[in-house]
Amino acid sequence: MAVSPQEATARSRSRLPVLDGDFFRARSQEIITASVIIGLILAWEVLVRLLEIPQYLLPGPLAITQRIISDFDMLLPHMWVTTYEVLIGLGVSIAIGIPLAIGIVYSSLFERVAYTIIVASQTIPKVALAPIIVIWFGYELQSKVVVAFLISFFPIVINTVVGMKSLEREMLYLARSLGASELQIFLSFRLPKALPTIFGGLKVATTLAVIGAVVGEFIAANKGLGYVQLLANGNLDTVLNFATVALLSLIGIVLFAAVSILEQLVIRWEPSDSAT
Amino acid sequence: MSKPVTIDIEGVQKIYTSGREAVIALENIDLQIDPGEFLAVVGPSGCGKSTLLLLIAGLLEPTAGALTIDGSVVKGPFTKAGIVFQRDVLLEWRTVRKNVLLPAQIKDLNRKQQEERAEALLSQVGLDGFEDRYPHELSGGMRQRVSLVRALVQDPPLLLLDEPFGALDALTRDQMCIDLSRLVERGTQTTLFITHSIDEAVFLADRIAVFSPRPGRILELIDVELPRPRKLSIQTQPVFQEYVQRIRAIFAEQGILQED
Repeated sequence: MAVSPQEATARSRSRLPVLDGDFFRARSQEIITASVIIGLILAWEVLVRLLEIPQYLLPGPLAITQRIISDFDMLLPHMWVTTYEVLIGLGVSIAIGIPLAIGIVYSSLFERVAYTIIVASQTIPKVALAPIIVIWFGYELQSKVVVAFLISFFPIVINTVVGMKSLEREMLYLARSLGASELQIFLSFRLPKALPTIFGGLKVATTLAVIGAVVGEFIAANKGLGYVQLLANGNLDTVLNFATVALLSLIGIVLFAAVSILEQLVIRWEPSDSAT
Repeated sequence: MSKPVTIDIEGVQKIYTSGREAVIALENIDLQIDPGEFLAVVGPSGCGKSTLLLLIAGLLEPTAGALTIDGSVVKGPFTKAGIVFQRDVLLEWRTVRKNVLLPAQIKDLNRKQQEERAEALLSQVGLDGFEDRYPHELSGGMRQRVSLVRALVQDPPLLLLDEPFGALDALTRDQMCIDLSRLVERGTQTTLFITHSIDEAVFLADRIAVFSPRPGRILELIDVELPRPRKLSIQTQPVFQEYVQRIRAIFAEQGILQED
């Protein structure tokens, strides 16, 4: 009865994207995106050669790649250092940001106090705080982690709060009428409801944490890609400078992709957005 | 089998206060709902009929008056009720089956028995084969059917329906009315059905409480003496139309329905 055959097929088709026209359309978009990126890199290389731009102004992508390969043994340890700082900074952001958000959701007093302070603190340019943080936390790992944390924890807090507050009033009524405990409401309703939004915040935080770590390295460091970049600048070694930029963006891309993959593994109930 | 409940409402009043403003949602409600009865509440939007449902569910507290279920005063959520809202509020992260088994999980009920019941109810509303689908793969009507099955799966002695078909198209709504009347006709639960559709109320109910605009009061209680099982074709018959006209006349008297 009730469910018409058309309805049923329409629904089941959306479940099998491989058989769907949308699939090819989505793929063709990927092909176009890849072609545009490759085209831009090629144009860059061709222009650099045609206009005979000196390497200290703008090296071509080929020269940069060659430099990464030839200096790989030197660059790799620095890349690990930066990655490590980013990951710990991000970890601290999650470890502090999510409990903070839960506190904000569950206590209106805490919300009024903590939320106000957190939002107000965002108006302070955190890059300008970096030198002070180095004075406080020293030249080693801690100062970079703190800067990465300060820059990246805000979107995690905001998105977790927004996600957990998006629970509909009726859903809360339903939970209560089933006699669910606060813990059950949190675990079975609030948390899963918030997960897509939390992952959104996590993606933003990932890219911000990379910025934080590099800013920390700029101020004071003797290792890490930010440090290498300062050295390269001092020697007017533009090729090396570009090489570190490329590796930094590689860190950002890989971490972003990792979060996206994790998101798809955890959230299987929603058609994933194509922002990855 | 559950034993349907008796509901006693005496002099119930509900006032919402936000800041300095106070809004009287319900005023002096006296109502008794018999065990196994299907009572529909019709009224204009904002008349406090949903408030009445939330009060009975124990999700809100009355400002004044007494509200008892089977003789005991409602204090805190009445956890034996099955509730359906206008929004289906399915958990998007759970399959149809797991949505339907949510009450069993929260209440730690006999899993196997609940699974059998869930399967039977799902197939009764035409959803067999959809057990492992996620809500976003279903149409609005299918989703609301899942929500109805979720409310019925614990075989509740009280079924509370707050404009459950309000967001559906007319055809789906007719089908849902038929499904619902079949599901509740066994009389194993007392049902409160909130709606703004006069036709729905007459088609489904044993008795109809007609509500005034805010502050909500009961204007009239009408017994619907139409034979069961009812078919959609009954809606075109004069007896059915008489009931509809009678309720319309009450609203016209109140100035809710105006023709010129």
